[in-house]
Amino acid sequence: MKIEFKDLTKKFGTFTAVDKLNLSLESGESFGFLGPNGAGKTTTLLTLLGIYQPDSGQILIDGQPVNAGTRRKIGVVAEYQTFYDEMTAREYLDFFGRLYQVADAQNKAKVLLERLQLADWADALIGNFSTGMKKKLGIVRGLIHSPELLILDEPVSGLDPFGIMQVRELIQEQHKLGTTLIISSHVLSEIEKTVSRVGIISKGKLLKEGSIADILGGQKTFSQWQVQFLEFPPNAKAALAAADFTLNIEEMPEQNTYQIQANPGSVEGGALGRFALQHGLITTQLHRQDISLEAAFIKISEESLQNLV
Amino acid sequence: MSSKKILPGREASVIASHIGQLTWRGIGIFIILFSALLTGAVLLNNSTRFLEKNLVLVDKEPLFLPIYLSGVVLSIFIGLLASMRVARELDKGTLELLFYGPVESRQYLSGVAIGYMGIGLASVLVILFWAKLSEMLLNLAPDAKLFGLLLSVFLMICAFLALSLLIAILGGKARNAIAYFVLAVFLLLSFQIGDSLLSTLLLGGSATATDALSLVRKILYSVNEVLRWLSPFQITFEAAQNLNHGAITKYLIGNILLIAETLILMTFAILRLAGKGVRGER
Repeated sequence: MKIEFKDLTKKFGTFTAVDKLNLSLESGESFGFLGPNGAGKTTTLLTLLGIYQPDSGQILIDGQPVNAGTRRKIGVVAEYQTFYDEMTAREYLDFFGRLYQVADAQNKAKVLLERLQLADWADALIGNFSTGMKKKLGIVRGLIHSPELLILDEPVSGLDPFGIMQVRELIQEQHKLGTTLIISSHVLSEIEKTVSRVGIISKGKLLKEGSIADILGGQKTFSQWQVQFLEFPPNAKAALAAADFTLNIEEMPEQNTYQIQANPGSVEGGALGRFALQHGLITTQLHRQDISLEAAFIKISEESLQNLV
Repeated sequence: MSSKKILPGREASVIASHIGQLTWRGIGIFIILFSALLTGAVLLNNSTRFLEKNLVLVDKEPLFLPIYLSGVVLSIFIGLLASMRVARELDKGTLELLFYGPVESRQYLSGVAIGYMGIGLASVLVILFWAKLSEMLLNLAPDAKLFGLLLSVFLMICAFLALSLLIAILGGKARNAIAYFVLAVFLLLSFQIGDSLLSTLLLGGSATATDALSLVRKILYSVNEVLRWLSPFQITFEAAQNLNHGAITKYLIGNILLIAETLILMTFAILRLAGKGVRGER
């Protein structure tokens, strides 16, 4: 499913939420929408779904304006999902299956519920589901009609690490089957793992778009370690700051933690633990996050804001 | 415009069955059935009273008023449930989820209307059952007018349902929808009841009637003159009276008015929802 945003503008009163957005997505592509809160991501996606009407410009799906026929081919997993709490998961999926005229909705629902470990809850009332279970159910609903375009807004928020892995695999499988993906997320590391192209949007304007390599071009990447100690060692900062691998260090005394930015691959968890032990420090927890797209996103956003000023 | 674009289509029937399922599961169906059965019991009691006082020969249709009143009660209950359902879906965001897919305003509201009309029809059938039981137990002569009266009552439920859906769309939020709904019911019933009460007062005590009372009576009469063409309750009341007095043409005109009102109000509700969208701004 090919999607074209042509000079799309959407205003709310005097506030311009989306400003002359031009973007083209090829069929089968995976695209990530990045941007701070209020940047215009959700407004753009809601206009694509026909919830908002553009003030000017247009959105074409396979060359056609948005209508009920095109929307039938779209699957949506919204960030804040709402359900009919008085229905069971099975009834809920059956309702959407009938609405989308899915021939084998019950079987598809069964397979997807099993994939996301929800099969045992198929006959439970949705009102009794946890946040993560509701998120998974929303994903099943979004996939029940085998959409040609899948729109995911914060798809892994509220999920535990195992759930994140399950959902990520399911999304990647859908993509391999030819489904076009649009993912909007603040978890940039998640976007990196799922999409091939990203667009950074701020104040309604598309600041930059391209492959992840393009976006990262020239941007410094680093690993961010959070090292928690048994007791907060105020004197450890100097030793950690002097280490070869450290680029930057921050204290978080309330959590007995130091946050260390290091060059990617310059240090591993074991080595960091041993380094601490050599300095008489006992680590209780080590957590690494690779910061790459985030840094690029922040830098591009900051540059853009400076230009606007 | 093709017929496909005018007819609500398959989506509406899916939504209608969904509404039926949710209402059946919720407390709504119990309220509806309770009110239908309660009214049926009142109806039975009323018939007994008429029989005891030997008034059956005097009154041409002793079942008329109880059936009409039960229709009013059911209209209000069903209308309130429908209005709350739509307002809650707007509030909660479940409606937006439907609109992400193939559902449009026309299909959604038609589906909701069909669902609740089905519930209205079931309630009318409960009243019919009680009416027939009443006739059988009390040895009242079966009357074909009963079916005509129930048809008008059903059309009244449909017209008030359409008004309730429009109220929900205009209200946007559940809180506003309740306020508008109560106001609409109050306006529709108060003028009608007020007019009847003052009319009785003036007739009963014309010697003591003041000018002020006459003025109020005139105002209420004027408002009622307008309402008799607009209020589903008033139109049904007059249609039922015409049926009772054998004025079949006027009775049919009343029914046609109810159908027209249902269609007009539904059209307004659909256009309004399509125009403003589920987020109150498109």
